[in-house]
Amino acid sequence: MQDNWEPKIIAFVCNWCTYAGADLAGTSRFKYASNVRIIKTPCSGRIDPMFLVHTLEKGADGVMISGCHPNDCHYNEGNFNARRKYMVMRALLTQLGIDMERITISWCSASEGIKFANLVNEVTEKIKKLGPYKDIVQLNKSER
Amino acid sequence: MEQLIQKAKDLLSKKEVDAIIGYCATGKDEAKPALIYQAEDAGELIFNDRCYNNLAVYLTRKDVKKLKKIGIVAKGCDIRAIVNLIIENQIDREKVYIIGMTCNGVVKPGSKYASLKSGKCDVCKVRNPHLADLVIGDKVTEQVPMDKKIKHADLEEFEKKTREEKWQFWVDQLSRCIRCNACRQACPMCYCNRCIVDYNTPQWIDTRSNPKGGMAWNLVRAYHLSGRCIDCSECERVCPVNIPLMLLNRTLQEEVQRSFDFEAGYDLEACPPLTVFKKDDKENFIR
Amino acid sequence: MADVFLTHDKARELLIHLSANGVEAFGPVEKDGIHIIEKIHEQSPINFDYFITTNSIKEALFPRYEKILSYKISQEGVEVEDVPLDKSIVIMGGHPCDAASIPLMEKLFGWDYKDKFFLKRRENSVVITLACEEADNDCFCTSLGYSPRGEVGSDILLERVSDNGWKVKTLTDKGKNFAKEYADYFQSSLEADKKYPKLADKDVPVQFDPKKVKKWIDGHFEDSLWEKIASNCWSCAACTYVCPTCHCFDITDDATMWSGIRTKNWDACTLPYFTLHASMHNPREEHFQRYRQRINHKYSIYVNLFEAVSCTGCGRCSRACGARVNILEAVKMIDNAAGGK
Repeated sequence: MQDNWEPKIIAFVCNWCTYAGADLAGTSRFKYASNVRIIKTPCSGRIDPMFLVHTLEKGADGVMISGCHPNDCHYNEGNFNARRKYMVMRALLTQLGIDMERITISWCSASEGIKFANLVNEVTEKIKKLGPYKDIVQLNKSER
Repeated sequence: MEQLIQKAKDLLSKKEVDAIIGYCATGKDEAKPALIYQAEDAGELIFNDRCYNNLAVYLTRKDVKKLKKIGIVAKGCDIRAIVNLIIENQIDREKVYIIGMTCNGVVKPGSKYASLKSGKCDVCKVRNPHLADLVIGDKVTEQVPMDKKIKHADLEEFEKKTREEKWQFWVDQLSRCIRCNACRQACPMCYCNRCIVDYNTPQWIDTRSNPKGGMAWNLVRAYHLSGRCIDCSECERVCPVNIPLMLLNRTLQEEVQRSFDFEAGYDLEACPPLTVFKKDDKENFIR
Repeated sequence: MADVFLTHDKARELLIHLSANGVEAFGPVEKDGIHIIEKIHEQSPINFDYFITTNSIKEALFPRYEKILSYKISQEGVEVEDVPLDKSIVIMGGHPCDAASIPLMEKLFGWDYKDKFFLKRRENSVVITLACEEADNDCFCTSLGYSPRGEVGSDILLERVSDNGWKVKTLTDKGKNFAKEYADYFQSSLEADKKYPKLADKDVPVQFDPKKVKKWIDGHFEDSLWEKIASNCWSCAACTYVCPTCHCFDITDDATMWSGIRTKNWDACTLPYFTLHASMHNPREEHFQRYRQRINHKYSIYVNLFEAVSCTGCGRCSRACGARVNILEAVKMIDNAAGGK
């Protein structure tokens, strides 16, 4: 591993809670690791589990998914549906042998700026320890 | 058999159905799906332990969908597929005439899966058809009770592997995938007009049949079948390169049963588990 | 010239030696109960005891996916990088029905547009074929003028003389040179077993006349027989992907904003979206139309273009089909329909 390697972490967040939470972390001047790249989606229900796989496939070292707490969804039930999807997807990814340590799913409300900042720091530390995720990227090297 | 042919003849000659999907013999020790449109052809129909094809796959084929009413010769596992197609609003119950066949399990000679009995038929709960307009055959007494939790032996064995071993296993297996889509086309639940792999804007799935493409495709296929797979094992049987696809499907079957207490294809009133939710669904994996 | 022999063990050693020395060696490996022709690595479980491999040797010359170029976009412009094609290739383990497909595909790839990928590989390759010792009901090479011990397309033909060895028959200069270069692996004697050869032309009976079939196809594009032939086809591509002569492909880009790879992938006329137009009109909307295309292309269109039937009678498509659509049955039905005409 190169010494100057920094993990790439992609965070898919919902527009109404976590994105506002991340915004709050910023305006309150909480410091969090700059390894995370935030992608805003309308709702955690929009975060198709395919995003997750696609992200790892394109070279991310870690993925975060975050949305409103249960009962707080702007669309009433988006996060409930999301919860079921992730549950199934986790079982599948575990069976395939994909490193689940690199995938973090959380609920984080608009007022939880500090939770978001801490979570990002924690995830960054963890991924740094795990090192770059090469499993899927290596598949890219085609023989021909 | 007599009864089956007689009934098929009746249905076709009285124009109660436009066609019957059933099995007929091939030159070898096998059976193949057949679509019978004329009463005089009904004599070709057979039913035995080589009838492993899941015929429900034809119900959503374009030309069959155009027919007014269709008869189908169905084993328990085919009926599970039909039930799922009905609850997903793909076919009307009134449009199909189900000739249910009691079944002692099917076998496929001359392959690694010398006996499918060790797979799906072992845990089959519907050897006696659970939804049919007419049941043919003697009642099977040996049957797994409906309320018993499914547990697949091959899966239990597989889960002993470490994460790295699992990953290596699937890389080896899935890099063999030639992307022929036989698994998709043979699956009664894969009825989408346009599959996600056929889309190119955006291109979700690598079009190449390299290890990455094989991995992405089989992952999506299994995921889209979560809570819908009815364990007919057709995908695994038709795979020309023998990839053990049912390991993935069964993982999700068991997960869905564990988490949502649901098994696909038994209850006409049920809702597909990923279209509904409970407020107290488990969320121990969420921070 | 004195007879030359090769044993299974030596063949295995030879393939591994070749692959270790920069040659793309393809051979039969056994995996999970099936035999497939695959690129050989040091650990490959090479096995020569099989009836027929699931896939054909076409993968060696016309891979299921291949990079045809990569590009980078920068302020200076677009930089295109070609793919080197100078590796020599050795293909061992196909049967005469596999080898016969190579001249057939060569006709197409060397037609109006010269496909350098196929042609270059063809030039660099040595094809070592195993004469058949077994046949089943799906085999029909003799009906198309081939033979289970045929020499078409091969550089070297290996004829079994015992359970673990073959008699080597060099057929072309390429084959001769190869045998000379690797003479260490060959030997001058081998104890022969009387049970070989097990299979002769007469064991694979001629079952139809391709000329008659073509004539019928040309006059019966719209015929209800097509619906009957393919009534249970569910439109996957297993048949075309295991076929030694099917050669359709699709070109896709895997790209980001500034760089990308252009890939040539297999495609198949039996897949529903093969002919879909941008207007969403699909001229081959129904399953039987697509299957008709497959037969039509092999038995009529190809004959019009190149005066050869694009089918070698290996029967792989029939074996791979999950719905048991059988090409031999299909062609025989056509043959019957053509009657005495």
